[in-house]
Amino acid sequence: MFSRILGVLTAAFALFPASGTGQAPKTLATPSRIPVTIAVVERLSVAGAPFLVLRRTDVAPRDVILLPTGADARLLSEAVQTLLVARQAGGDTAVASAALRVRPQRGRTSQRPVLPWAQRVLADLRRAEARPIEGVGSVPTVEIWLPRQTRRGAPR
Amino acid sequence: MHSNTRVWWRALTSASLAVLLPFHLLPAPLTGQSDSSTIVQYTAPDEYQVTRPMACPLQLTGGFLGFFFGYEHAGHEWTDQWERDKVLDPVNHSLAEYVPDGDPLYIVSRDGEARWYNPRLTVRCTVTEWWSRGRIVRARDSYKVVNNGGNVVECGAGGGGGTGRELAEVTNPFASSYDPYASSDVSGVDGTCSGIEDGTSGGGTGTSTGSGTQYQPGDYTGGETVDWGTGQGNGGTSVCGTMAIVEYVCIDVWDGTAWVEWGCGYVTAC
Repeated sequence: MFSRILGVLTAAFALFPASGTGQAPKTLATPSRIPVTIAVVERLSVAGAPFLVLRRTDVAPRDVILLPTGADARLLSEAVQTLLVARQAGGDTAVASAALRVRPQRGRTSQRPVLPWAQRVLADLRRAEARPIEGVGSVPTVEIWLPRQTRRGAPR
Repeated sequence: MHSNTRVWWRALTSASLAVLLPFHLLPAPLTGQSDSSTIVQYTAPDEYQVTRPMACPLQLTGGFLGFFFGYEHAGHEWTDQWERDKVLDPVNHSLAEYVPDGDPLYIVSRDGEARWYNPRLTVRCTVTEWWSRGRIVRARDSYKVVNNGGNVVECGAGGGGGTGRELAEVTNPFASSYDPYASSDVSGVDGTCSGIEDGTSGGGTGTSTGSGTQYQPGDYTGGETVDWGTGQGNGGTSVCGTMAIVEYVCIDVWDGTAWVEWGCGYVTAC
């Protein structure tokens, strides 16, 4: 008898999870923007690179852009667009940790445009306090959010 | 003797300034325009400030306006990227109207809670020079907003085009209303509103099949994204909107000692 009542109650909870809330069950929303941390470093670990884009799978923050101290808005724009291209190719969430670069081969004959907010982010970055970034050190950082690049529901 | 010469020279310099300064300032009242706002303030016998009109620049940015967090108006912060649209003072070009970069119909406040339709600033541009002993020792530009054009609508109050809540997204990072610090471009929880953009949704949306159009590097897709492997339109919506251009790129990863090619493929970029 007791087990029958328990079974009915369990079934009721399983079948009506939203009862009592007065709302339909919520679906897990796909984020429309993905964060990236931008940091200024004294010296880039890869000689000759104008900036570094790090994608990590196991530590936070996941995506990190490292800029040299003298970076300007154009360089930041270039770095951001490199990350956007990398996200198109490899997904909004990295599947492997790597420092990467993008080499345009064909299709562009002009410079990439400068993001209208790049200067503001750089100004904020110059005022930002240092905070520890795993694998990088304690450096000034800001976090910005970029639109997702991979299609919702697309296999990745 | 030498000291006397110096004193005499200083007196002569001050006297010449007194004679020449009116000529320096003379054109101002004659123009009948904004030059009439030229102001001279003496701070010492041979030190003074001259504030006079100056030509307004083509662009006003956060640095020009003197703050980095945006232009404040109607209780909200707005973009600080403005471009000169019209010069109202034909003589000195010191009074001009500015519109946000790209001259959008409206912009969204940085807190996402209001829209500014037909945003327009009327700005008076002046320069203040500090003169000391006949020389300019310092100068500072000033950009004073004398009028805010257009109208601000609180989105939570139903101003977002008839409904209080908007579902469109600000996805183009090149849009003047794009806020890089916002973690979401979708509103609807607290009366926030969206940017104008081009009516497309984010790069993460799209049909399951796409147009299938075979794009070549350099082609404009009209806003569709392409398949990394084939370059065919896959139905996604590029964040670049109509600026979306197909590129063929290679991605390298750093293995600790050298760059190693990870792969090459087609992408859409702005």
